[in-house]
Amino acid sequence: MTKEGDRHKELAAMPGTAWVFRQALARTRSIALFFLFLTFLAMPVVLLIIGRQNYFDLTSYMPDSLYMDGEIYANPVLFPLHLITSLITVASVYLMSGAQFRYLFQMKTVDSEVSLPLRSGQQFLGRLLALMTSLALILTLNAAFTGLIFYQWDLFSHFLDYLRLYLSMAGAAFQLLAFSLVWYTLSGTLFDAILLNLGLQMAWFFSILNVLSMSGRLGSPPSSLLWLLTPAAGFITDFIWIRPLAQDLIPLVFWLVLSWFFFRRRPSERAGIRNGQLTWHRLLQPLFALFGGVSLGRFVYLLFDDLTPIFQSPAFYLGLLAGSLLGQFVSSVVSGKALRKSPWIHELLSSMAGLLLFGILAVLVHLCMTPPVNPW
Amino acid sequence: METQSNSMVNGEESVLSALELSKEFGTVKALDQVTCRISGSSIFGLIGSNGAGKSTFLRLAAGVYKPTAGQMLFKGKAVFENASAKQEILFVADQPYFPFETLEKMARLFRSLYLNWDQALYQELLRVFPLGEKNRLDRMSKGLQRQAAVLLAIAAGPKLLLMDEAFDGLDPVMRQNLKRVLARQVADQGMTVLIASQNLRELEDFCDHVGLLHQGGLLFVEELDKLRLSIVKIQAAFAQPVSQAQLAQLGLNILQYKERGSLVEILARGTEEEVKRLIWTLDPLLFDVLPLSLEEVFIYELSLRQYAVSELLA
Repeated sequence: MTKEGDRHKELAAMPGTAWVFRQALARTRSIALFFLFLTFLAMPVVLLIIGRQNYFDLTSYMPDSLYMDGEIYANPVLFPLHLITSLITVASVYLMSGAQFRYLFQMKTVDSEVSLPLRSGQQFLGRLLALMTSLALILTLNAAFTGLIFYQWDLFSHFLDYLRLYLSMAGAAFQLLAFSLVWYTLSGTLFDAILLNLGLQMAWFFSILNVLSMSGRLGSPPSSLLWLLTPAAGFITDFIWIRPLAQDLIPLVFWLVLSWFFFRRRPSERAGIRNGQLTWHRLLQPLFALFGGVSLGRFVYLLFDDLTPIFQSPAFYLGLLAGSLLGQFVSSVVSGKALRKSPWIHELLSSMAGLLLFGILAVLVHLCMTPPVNPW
Repeated sequence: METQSNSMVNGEESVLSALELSKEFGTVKALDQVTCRISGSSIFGLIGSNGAGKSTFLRLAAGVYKPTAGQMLFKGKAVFENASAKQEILFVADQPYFPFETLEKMARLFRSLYLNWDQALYQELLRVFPLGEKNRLDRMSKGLQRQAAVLLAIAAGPKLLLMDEAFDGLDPVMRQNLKRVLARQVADQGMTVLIASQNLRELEDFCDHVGLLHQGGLLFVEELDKLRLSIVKIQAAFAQPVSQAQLAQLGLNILQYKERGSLVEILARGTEEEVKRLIWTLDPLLFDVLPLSLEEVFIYELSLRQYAVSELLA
């Protein structure tokens, strides 16, 4: 055997992505089984407890309109079960992804994991595949057992009707997973990663909802802008507005590529550093200024000046300004930024960027969208 | 301090080379243009006070950190993101971490990960460090956890073993056991050990070479025997009082001179033979060569370089 041949043999024997995948799967096996158990409890077990006759009676005598106007993709029995399953799935996404990537946030775990004979790409891919496999297994097995029950009950068409909503929830779950990875790879602490993940989604969803509603453009379904930074919203909104598959697939790929990019460039020394002390965090703060501004602006408007059109109301603009400063301040404090060391002009500029973002969004919404047709 | 201009140390290729190595954390310079080469089959002690850059150096050597500037090379290749280099480098950090709860499971993990894993050696080390394979690692004391981490690291068959505060938390018996095991691995398997410590005394009977880090700079790298051989501490008594000037006139390079009644204690530069020959010309009533601690050697070597030792060592 030549020296080159030996080298190839050695490289082939070296652990890689498959090794990380097996280890990662083993590490989260118990947590994945726990969530599988919970989803079983929430759907197939409850259906078995209800029984075929009760299910049939309940779905026959309780029309969908009891729950919501318009089309709804779950019957009255499956609606609450789906809601609970959705909540369990959201929790499973956060807990399983946290378990796989929490090593990034403590120096002692970084020392141990990063010094292993593996490249960062292998570490990322192996863990990601393990996460996706665990999530896919939970969702598939739950769907399979639920489907089996409906098949046994000779009501398989009910399951097929519901499957559309279930698949949409699965899409939102994978999208949320990919979205979460971006913040795990960027953040310095687990607390900050989760806080930023939830905070950004909330800030974006409510800001856009407000802008659309203020502009009279909140149609049904609303603009897909709403879900851009809010994959978790899909878990709830899919009851009414099922989005096309591409609307889950494109962001899923985008967030995955982004998280891969950030993971490869993540310095080990970031472990334990609060987000407020990291440069990139400043770029996101205008979103919190936007959220604070729009929320307070609208609140002040409704409180003092709701007879004037909102975009002509001084009360709204005063609230917008105060709210943007407040949003910026709160996001700085919560993210652990040393405010005494941070020049006030940076904070002010970030708030102004939030206001600018509001302006851009409002103009874009006015220019690019037509108001929804009023059926009356 | 650069010992040689190329990547060879004493005619053999160095195992670990830091070339103009710098690491910055924001505005803080943890390491500043450090250059040193560590040869194979040796035990290198890296000493320095808190914040001197020891752990940063080890993390760079383990491929945990990416250098800001310069290079950290293992057998001539960059360590960072180099999985094949990391197959031969094991890092025992200051705070050991075990992703699996028992030593047995950890051994299984290491066996599947490190191509040079030596099961026979692992079993043998289990007799030296009686930890109990099935005991929970997270419930063990700091000392026992450290023993477990070292045991796993040695059994993985590394060419370079990096240890941060290696003896911290170990009782004296286990310290000696660990030193014996490491010395044997160095002698038999050609392993190189790089140990970082604040405690000079811990390393003095163990290392071949020592390096002193201070504020991110490597002040000093020297072979320990060479250091020791170049300074002699003696105690002598003379029939007639002998002054420091008289001794200096003889050609003795005195670093420290202390009088205690009729006894004088002299620390002088030179070999034992040279100093002995010069002192004997004064026909001493008593002449003893005293053991010299590494700390004393450092104090004088560093004072020559205009550093106050209290600033450098804990």
